[in-house]
Amino acid sequence: MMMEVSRYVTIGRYVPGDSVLHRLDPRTKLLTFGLLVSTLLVVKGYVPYLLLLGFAVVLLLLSRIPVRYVLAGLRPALWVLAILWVFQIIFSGSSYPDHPTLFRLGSWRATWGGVHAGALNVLRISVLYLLTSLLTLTAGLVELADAGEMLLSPLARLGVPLNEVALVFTIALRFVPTLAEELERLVKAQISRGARLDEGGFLGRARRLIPLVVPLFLSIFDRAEDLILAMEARCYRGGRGRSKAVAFAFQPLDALAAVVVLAVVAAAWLTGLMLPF
Amino acid sequence: MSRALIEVKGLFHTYHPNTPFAREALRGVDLKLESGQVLGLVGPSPSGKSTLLQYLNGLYVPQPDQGKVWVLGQDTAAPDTSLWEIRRRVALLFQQPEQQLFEPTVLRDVALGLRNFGVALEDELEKRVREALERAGLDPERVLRRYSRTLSGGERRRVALACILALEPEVLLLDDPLSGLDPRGRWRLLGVLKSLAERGISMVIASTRLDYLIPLVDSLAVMADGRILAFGSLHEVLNREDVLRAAGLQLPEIWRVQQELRSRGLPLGEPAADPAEAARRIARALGVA
Amino acid sequence: MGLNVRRIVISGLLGAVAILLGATGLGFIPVPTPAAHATIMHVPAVIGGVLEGPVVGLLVGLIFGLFSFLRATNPIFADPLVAILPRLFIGVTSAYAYRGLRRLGMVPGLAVAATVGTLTNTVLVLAMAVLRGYLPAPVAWAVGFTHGVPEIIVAALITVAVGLGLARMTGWEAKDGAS
Repeated sequence: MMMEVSRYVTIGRYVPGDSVLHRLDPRTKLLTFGLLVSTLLVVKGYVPYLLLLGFAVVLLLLSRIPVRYVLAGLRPALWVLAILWVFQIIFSGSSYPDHPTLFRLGSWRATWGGVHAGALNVLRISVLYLLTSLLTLTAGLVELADAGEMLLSPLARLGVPLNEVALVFTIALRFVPTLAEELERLVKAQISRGARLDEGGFLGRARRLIPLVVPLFLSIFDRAEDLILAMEARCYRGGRGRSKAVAFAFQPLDALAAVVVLAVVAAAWLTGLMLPF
Repeated sequence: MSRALIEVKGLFHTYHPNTPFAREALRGVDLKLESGQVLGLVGPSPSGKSTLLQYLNGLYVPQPDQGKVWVLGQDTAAPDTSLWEIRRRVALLFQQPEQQLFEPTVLRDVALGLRNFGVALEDELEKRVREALERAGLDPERVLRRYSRTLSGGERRRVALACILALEPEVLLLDDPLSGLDPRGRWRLLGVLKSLAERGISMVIASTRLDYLIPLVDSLAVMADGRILAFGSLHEVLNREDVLRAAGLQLPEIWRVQQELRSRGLPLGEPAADPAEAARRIARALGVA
Repeated sequence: MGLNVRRIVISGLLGAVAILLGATGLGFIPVPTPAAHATIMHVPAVIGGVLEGPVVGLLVGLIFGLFSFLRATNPIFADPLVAILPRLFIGVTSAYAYRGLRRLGMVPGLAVAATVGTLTNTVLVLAMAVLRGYLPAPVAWAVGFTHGVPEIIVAALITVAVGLGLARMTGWEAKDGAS
């Protein structure tokens, strides 16, 4: 039933564990993740993508998270990916005017160029999906937010209000469960007063959404006033000098991880540049 | 088969089952409400009171292995039971219900349930809303067009009560209706609840405090840790000091004074909840009346 | 325009709503397209921009973007250029649209700002998807229309209702004599 959903809201997907991946410093996780993702965004080609896919699979095995659990999340996405691939094939005529025609659908012309471009996209997105899953499965969101703040700390010297932004993230993560409870109360109150939330088409659902979402937004502003007062009463002045609850420390393992990832990334760049496919 | 208005048998409920956050809220609850009766449900927070009320409102439905709930003679887990219908006839006032007013004006908020349940024609909506506001102790002229968030806390709670009174339910489920109100708001709402009880509406009232319940209820169920520790007539249960202590409940002072006097040999009958009535009985027992 | 305590708190809370709408599926409204859902997850960014200015709008959009990247429900959002970048602009364009138009009155101002913010989301996400080669342009047009229109309607309804509610509750904008 819909009202039960908010009881099970988990924003992160962190699965505690003791694998090599889990033990890495969160900064290492975030940095190597960023490196791999940006490589995927820039480099193009079957060889580098397959290389990165292979690497991601090795990481998945190293993480000791049940493979089935990760793939279960990928399954619904596969359908959309397949549909997108079909679209990219059907509508590829104008992008590859000199490619021979595979088949025609009305005025649209399918080409091999579309098949290739689509295949590369499916590969790239699958690897990106695996990498994001690995990151969120082996690191908590709060941990990642702290790591991000530390990695970006040079920006603070350039006048970017980094501490403040980090606090925004902390508040957002902290208040999701509270607001989930609030939402659940609203959903139950609506159902108790005769609303039929699951029924109806688009307009009906949209109309019923409003009495849930609008009070939720308004309650935020109530809450905000209390929170502002509390923070000002404690003399909050920016985040300067704020200390972390947990101190991070790089280990030899982090150096090893960095070297391995750099090697994989370099290999992907080189094969992407040098091999014509 | 004739059943009580509400009957609960062996009810269990676990929040977040099969997760590290699993919490047992109900552990085998039995309960009965007869027609015209006002039942108090008293116990510390959390003891399972709110969860139980949500079962009686059809918001939760027991799985086959979680026990049975009959409301208005219908098994809420039966496939042909209309929970939607039950929610109108056995209406629930949530805890802090003033946070659950949805609509811009009081009129539209009270009319929301009437519209959802289709119990009133459009042209008699306003009349029904006015009646409900009056029964909830509010002046319709003053509040009808107001934005509910601009009313006082006590007024908003009575608007929320009007929202469910408008549905003309056969049973009222009230979840800690007096909590968080200022003395004036509490006193006004208590008056409204008393007049509802006098009109013969069946009620289940949950509260963490005995003193508010005593003048309202006929029978009492004491809850702690998801179990019913005692269930019976008001006087029966109030004499079970062991149970009250186990649930961390305190008898009202006026009650304890009468008990003390009785234990010192003063020939008093059952203690009275009303101070004036208690004084009369004490005076009579002392021979000064 | 700095980040004072008020802006920090409101950005954080609105960011929490954006996450919640995504995590519960409440932010999704089924529409008959292959992408399956219209969304209201961008509405917190719109409201942040309109009520508290472009900086708050940007931060709420960033949280929305990061969340939709890390918990991609649609595979094209596994690409951060599609998931995060466009979202940064939602609250910013809404903020300036509202500032430019609020002399028309609060309700039309809010409705237009919500429309602008929603279009920012739809157009930039789809443009990015086309640029990155995930969607052929004709499909993007179709998706844009079938999603954009319902999203605009719902976003405008919610934004106007929240604005009116706040005006009654806290006297927000009362100084303009608008509404």
